Amino acid sequence: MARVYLVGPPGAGKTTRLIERLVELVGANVRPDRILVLVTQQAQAEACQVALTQVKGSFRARGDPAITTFYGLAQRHVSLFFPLIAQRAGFTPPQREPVMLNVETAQYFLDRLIEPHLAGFDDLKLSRPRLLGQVLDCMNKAAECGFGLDEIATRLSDAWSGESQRLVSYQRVQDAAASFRRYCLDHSLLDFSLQIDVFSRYLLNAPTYQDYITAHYRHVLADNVEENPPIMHDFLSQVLQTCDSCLLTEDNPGGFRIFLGADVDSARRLRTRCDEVVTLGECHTASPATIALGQALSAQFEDFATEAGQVPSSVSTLARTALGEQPGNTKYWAGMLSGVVEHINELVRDGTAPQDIAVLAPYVEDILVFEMRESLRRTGIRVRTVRPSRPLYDHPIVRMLVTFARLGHPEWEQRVSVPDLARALAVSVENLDLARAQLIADVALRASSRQLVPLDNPSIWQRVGMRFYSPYASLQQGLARAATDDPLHTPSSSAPGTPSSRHLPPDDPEPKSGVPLDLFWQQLFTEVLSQPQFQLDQELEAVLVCDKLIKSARSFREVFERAQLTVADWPGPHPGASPDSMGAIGQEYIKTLSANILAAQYAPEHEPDVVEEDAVLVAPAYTYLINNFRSRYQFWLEINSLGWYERVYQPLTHPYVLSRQWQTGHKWTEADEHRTRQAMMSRLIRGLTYRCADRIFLASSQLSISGQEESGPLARAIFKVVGRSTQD
Amino acid sequence: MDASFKFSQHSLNDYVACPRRFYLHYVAKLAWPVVEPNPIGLQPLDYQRYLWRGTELHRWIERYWLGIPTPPDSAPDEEMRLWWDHFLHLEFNNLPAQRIPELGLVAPVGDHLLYARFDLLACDASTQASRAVIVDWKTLRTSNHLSAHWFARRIQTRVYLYVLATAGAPYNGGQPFAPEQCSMRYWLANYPDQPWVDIPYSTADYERDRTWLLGLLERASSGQTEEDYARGSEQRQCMRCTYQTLCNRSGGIACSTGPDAFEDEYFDVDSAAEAASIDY
Repeated sequence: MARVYLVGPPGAGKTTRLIERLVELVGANVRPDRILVLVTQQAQAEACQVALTQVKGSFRARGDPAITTFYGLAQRHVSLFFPLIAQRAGFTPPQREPVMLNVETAQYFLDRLIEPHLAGFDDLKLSRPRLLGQVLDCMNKAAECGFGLDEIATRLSDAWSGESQRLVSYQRVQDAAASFRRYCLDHSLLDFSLQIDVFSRYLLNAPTYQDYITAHYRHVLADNVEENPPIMHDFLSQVLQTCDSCLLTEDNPGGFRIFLGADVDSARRLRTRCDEVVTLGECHTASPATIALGQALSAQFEDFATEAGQVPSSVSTLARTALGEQPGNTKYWAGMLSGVVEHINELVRDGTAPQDIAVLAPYVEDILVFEMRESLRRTGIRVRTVRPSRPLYDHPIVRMLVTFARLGHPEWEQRVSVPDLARALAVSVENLDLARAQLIADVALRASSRQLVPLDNPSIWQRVGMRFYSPYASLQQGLARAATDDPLHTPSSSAPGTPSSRHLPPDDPEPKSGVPLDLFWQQLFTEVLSQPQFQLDQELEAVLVCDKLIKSARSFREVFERAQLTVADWPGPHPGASPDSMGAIGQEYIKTLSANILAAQYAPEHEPDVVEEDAVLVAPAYTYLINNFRSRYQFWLEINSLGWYERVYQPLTHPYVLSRQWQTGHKWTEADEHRTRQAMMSRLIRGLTYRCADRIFLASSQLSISGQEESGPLARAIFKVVGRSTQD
Repeated sequence: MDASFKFSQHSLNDYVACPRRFYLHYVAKLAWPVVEPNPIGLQPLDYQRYLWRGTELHRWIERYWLGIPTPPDSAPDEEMRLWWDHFLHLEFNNLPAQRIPELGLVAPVGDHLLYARFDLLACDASTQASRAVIVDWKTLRTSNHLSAHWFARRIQTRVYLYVLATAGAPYNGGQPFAPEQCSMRYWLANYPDQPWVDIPYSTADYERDRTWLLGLLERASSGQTEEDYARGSEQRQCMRCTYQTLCNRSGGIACSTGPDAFEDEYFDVDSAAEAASIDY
C-alpha cells in the first residue's frame, strides 16, 4: 500500500480498513515505533487499541505503536524538543522547562489579566466564563490556522458590518490575547494556542525535528482528517513526503468540529498528496430508509435541491418508513417528554436494549436529564448523558468540599452560610437529613462562622440524635488537622461532654500554612469522608467527583510550582492573599472555582468516567456526531426549535471568519450566514441519519420549555418531506 | 475482565501484593482520592515532587538520545542536578550501537497480553553476535538492595526480559532475540560509584518466567466478581495501598511510619509513567 485517501459516509468501513492496515503492519514485523496512528479523540484511540489486542494467532509479537490525537502528539513533541525552539519562540528565559496549561489554568491566568478591562465588554452581556472562552477560542483558531494574534481584530473587524462599538471589542479581545501570550512567554507557560503556535511556527520547520519525523513515522494512519484543523493537515503533508505508506480517511458528511477549528476543505487538499483516492459509497450501519430520510431532509437545505427541495416520491415514501410513530406533538414540553418516555418504555419492553436508543436535542439542559432519568427510573431504565462541559461548582459534592475547605482555612476569612454548611453535612454524613443538618449548622456557625468548633453541649445532640455527634466531632477534628502538617492519626470522638482532642478558640484561628488545597482535601477524605458514618464511599459518582476536583486543584497548584511563580509574579491584584504561597494558591483556586471561571469539568483523558453501558443515551445532536455514536433508534426532541439551525451566540469569535478558507477583507453577510447554516443543517441531518440503524422518532411541542412558540427550519423541512409522502 | 486488558509490571506488582488491590485498581477502576501512600517515608508533597523529578529526568534522558541539549541550569533542584551530572558522566560505549528511547512493546502470554515500556533499548541487529540490552533509569534512594540478585527477582526485570525475548523481532531483522542475547541494565542515579547493575537472561530463565507469568496472568484474569480477588495476607502491604480505608484495614498512612524493610521493592517512578501510558 502506498498513499491512500479513503472517503465515504459513516458506516462504510473506513475505520475498519484503517485498523486492518494497522494490524497488517504490526503483523508484518514493522517496528511499532515507526507507525503513527492519529485519531480525533481518545475514545477512538482506545478502539484501535482494543482491535489490536484482540487479533489472535497470526503473529506472536505485538507492538505498541503511537495511537494518539494530533494535539496529544503536538504537546508531547513541543515538550520534548522545547530546548531547541524556546529561544526562537520568545520564551524568556529560554532555559526553563515548559509548563503546560489546561483549559482551567489558562482561563484562570487570562481572567486575572483581563479583570481590569472587563467593563469594556459590558455591552455584550456575556458571562465571564463565556468571555474568557471566546478570547481563548480566537487564540486557538489563530494558532490552528497559522495566523498571528495581531490579525484577530483585523479579520473580525473587516468581516463585521454592524455597530462600530463591536470593533472596539474586537481590539480589546486582541489586546487581552496579546497580554496573556506575553505573560505565558515570560513564565514558560503554554496554553493550548501557544502549544500549537510553537509547534506550527518553530518545531515543524526545525531540521532536527524534520529528521526525527522522517526517521520515525514510516507508516501513517489518520482517521477522520476532516475533523481536524489545518495545522494537522500541514503536519500530515510534511510526513507524507517521506513516509513509506499512509492511509487517511474522511467521513462525508463530516466537519462537525468546525467550532473547534475543523476544516474540511483543508483536509481534502491532502488528496493531492496521495497516490490514490478510494471512495466507499455504501453505508452498512444505517438502513436504506434512514439514509433516504437523510437525503430527503437534507435536500431541503441544499442549493442544488430542485424546485425548493422537491423530493422524488420514491425517496420520500422510503424515507417515511424510517420514521417511528410520532411520540409527542402536544402543546407543552412536558407532554412531549412523556410521549418519548412512553415510547422508550415500549421499545425496551419489546426487547430493545436501552443502549440502542439515543435521545437527541439541540441543547441538553439539566431539567431534560432530570426528567428523563426520573421517568425512566420507574421502569428500571437507566440514562447516561454526554455533554460537552458542566460547571464543576454546580455539583453538590464540590460545594461540600469547598465549604469544608473554607472552614479548614479560617485565615482566608471566607465566611460560610448556614445553608451551605447544612447541605455539606447532609451530603457527607450518613443518614443525616437536611432539617437536622440545618440545626447543627445553625448552632455551629453561631459559635464561629469561619471554622468548625467542637459542639460538646449534649442538648443539640439530644435534639438531632446522639448518633450524629461522633461524625460531627470527627469532621471538626479532621478539618483542624487537615490544614496543618500534623501526621495523620485516628480521631477520637466518643461522646459529647468529653473534652475534644483539639479545640480551636472561636474566631481565633491558629495560623496554618504550607498544606496545598488538594492535599487538604485528600487528607480529609482519607481521615474523615471515607470512614464509616460518612456516606461518600457508597456512591461511586460522588467519589469520582471528589477525585476530579482534587486532581483539578492539584494541576492548578502544580502550574504555580513548576513555573516557580511567587505571589509577586501572579497577574492582577491579590488583596488579602494568604502570605504562604500554598494557602494563597488554594485561596485563588476556591475563588476562581466558585466564580464559575473553572467552568469546564476537569476530565483527564486517561481517566475512565462512570459509563453506564446499558443506558439510554441523552446528548446534544452535535456532541452525538462528534463522538461518533451509533444507535438503532434515535429520538429527535423539540424539532420546532430554532436551536437545531442557529449557531451559538459568540459575538467575539467566528468559526468561518477565523479560518483559512475566509478571504480577509470580505464582509460576513446575511447571505453567508444563511448559506453556512443551510450547509451545516444538511450535514447534521445526514450525519444523524447515517448513524441510525432502524428508525427515527420525531418529537415536538407547540410551546418550548420556555413557553415560546417556535417553528424552526427542521420542522418545516420535515413537514415538506413527510407531508408530501403522506399525500403519495 | 476486559479482553483487551494489557498487564504490566505495575499491575502484576499490585496483584502479587494484594489481589483485591488489583481488582479495585484495574478491574473496577475505582478512583479513591486518599493521600498517596509512599514507601520511602517522604511527606506527601515531597513525594509528589520526587516523582515529578523522576519524570523530568526521564524526559531529559530521552532528549539526550535524540541529540537535544538540555540546559544544565534548568534543573529544578539540587537532587535533579546531581542525577543529571551522574548521567552525563556515564560510559555507554559498551552498549549496542542502536539506541531507542521510551519504547513500548506488547507480548502475548497465552491468551493474555503483557506490556513493557523500556526507558532505552540498545540493540544491534546488524552484527552476527546481535544483542539487546534494556536500560532502566532508577532513582532509588536506599542502598538496601543493590545486588544483582535482588534486581533479578524483581517483577519488572522478569516482565521486561520476557517481553523483549518474545516481541523483539522487529528490532532484530524480523527474528526473535534468543534469551541469551537479551539482558537488562539498571542505572542507579544516586550511586555514581556503583552505577550499573546487569542482569543476564537465558533460555531456562525465559521458560521459567513464561510458566510463572502464564499462571499469574491466568489467576489474575480468572476472577468473575470482587469476591474472587482476595485481600492480600500481608497486612504490611496495606500501608502502601490507596484502598486501605476502603478495606477498613488499619496500619496508618505509610509516610508516618518511615522507610521499612520493603522500601523501594514496589516503588518505581517508571511504573507511574508506564501506568499512565496505558489506556486501561
